[in-house]
Amino acid sequence: MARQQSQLNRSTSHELTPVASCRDRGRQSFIFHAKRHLGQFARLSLSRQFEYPANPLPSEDPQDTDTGVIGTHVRTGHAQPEQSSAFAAWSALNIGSQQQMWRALNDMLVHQAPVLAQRAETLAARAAPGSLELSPDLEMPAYFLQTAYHGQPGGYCLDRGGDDWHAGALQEAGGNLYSRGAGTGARDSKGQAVVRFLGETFPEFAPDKVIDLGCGYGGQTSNYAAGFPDAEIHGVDLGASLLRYAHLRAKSLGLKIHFRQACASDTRFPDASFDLVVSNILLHEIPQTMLDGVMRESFRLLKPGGLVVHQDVPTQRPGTPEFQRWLSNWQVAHNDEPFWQSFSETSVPQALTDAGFSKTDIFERYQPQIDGPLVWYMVGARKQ
Amino acid sequence: MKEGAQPADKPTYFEDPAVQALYQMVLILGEELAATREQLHALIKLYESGEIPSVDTIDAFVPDDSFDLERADWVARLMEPLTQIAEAQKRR
Repeated sequence: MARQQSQLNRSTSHELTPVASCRDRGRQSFIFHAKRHLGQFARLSLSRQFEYPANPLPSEDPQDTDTGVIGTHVRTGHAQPEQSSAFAAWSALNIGSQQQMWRALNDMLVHQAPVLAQRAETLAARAAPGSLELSPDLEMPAYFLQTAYHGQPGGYCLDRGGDDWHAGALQEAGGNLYSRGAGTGARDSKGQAVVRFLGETFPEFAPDKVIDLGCGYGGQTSNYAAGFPDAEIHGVDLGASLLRYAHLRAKSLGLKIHFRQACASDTRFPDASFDLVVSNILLHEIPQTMLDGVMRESFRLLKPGGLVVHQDVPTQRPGTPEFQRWLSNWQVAHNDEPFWQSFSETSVPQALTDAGFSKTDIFERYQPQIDGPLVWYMVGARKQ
Repeated sequence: MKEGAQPADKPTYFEDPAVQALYQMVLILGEELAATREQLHALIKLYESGEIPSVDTIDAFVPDDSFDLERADWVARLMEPLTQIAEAQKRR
């Protein structure tokens, strides 16, 4: 039986959900609390270094000490967290905690591989309400093959052949533990945030066909299936292992979703074939040229009167304190987020306009989480 | 088949790479100790309740919420020196 939307969040379990052993629980709890503590340390201690004039560490060049300038990094009027030993220790621990997270989750999946493989086999034999369409010869963009997003071993392109779904399982487990460590509660869901946003902003809108671009392991796609139970739901992604997992996951949850291996900028669906085009935290994971391509594809796919909503991290929010911006950009070099900064400097409304949407039909909103301190960036348009 | 991407090299924060390695070693030790504490807690609670502990009963044991406060406290104590560094730098 299909799950209700309220049952689909960061604590959703299904037949491929690994069960943490006592040892797994201890390791993961440690990582969770370490991440919470490091986040709190950044907000309470590192941030203060932005509140005072530069106070650098002793330099070998006394002139440097006089001017408060070390090396080539200068930010007038503010101290440089990069120069402090507290920052160095925090960074080393933060990166270390991320590496430990992947190791702990990978170990859990490997230990349970025989049991989970058996469950996957049972699920594969079960009749599916939805479908899975893979394209083994699909050409992958270089950035996708080269990025191990958030340090996930193998990245999203990892495909060990056969029926492999390991990357999908790792993406779901890692996303949940990382987000909880960053303060997001188990009840929150990005897909539900979009459904909620649509309900509040366009209460009359009821899509017949929905497509989720860059759907990954299908966690958010499930929310569109539950949020629009009468609609036909599609999800596309480049990663074959992600999609195999997404398909089995949807089967286990009793959700009718059609997954296709395709690039979000070239889905191969006919023009004007969807009422709603969505993406969840896709835009900050792709280069600018691909972002422009996703906007053009969104325009092409929509029927007249249809809506596109892209949900992402709020790096562009006006009034964000400088420390928050600095912390946000820390992700680029330290957490395998090569496109984070280019996304934060991109105007998505402009990209939508360039793709063909009318300026007057474009909207932006910062939507608070229902179970967490963060806000999500919602940006989209209606096609006339 | 796709081999998969490897995480990018990270910036170095200390002149001596052994210092950075030491931070990683501390985290690994902390995590291992946390796993041991978790297992020990389950073992003690099962004994107290009169159950005979086994791998299955230990894995199935779910600690109550108060144990999560103990976990948080253990991590906070481990991280305390970091806070002290930041406080000292603020006063400088």
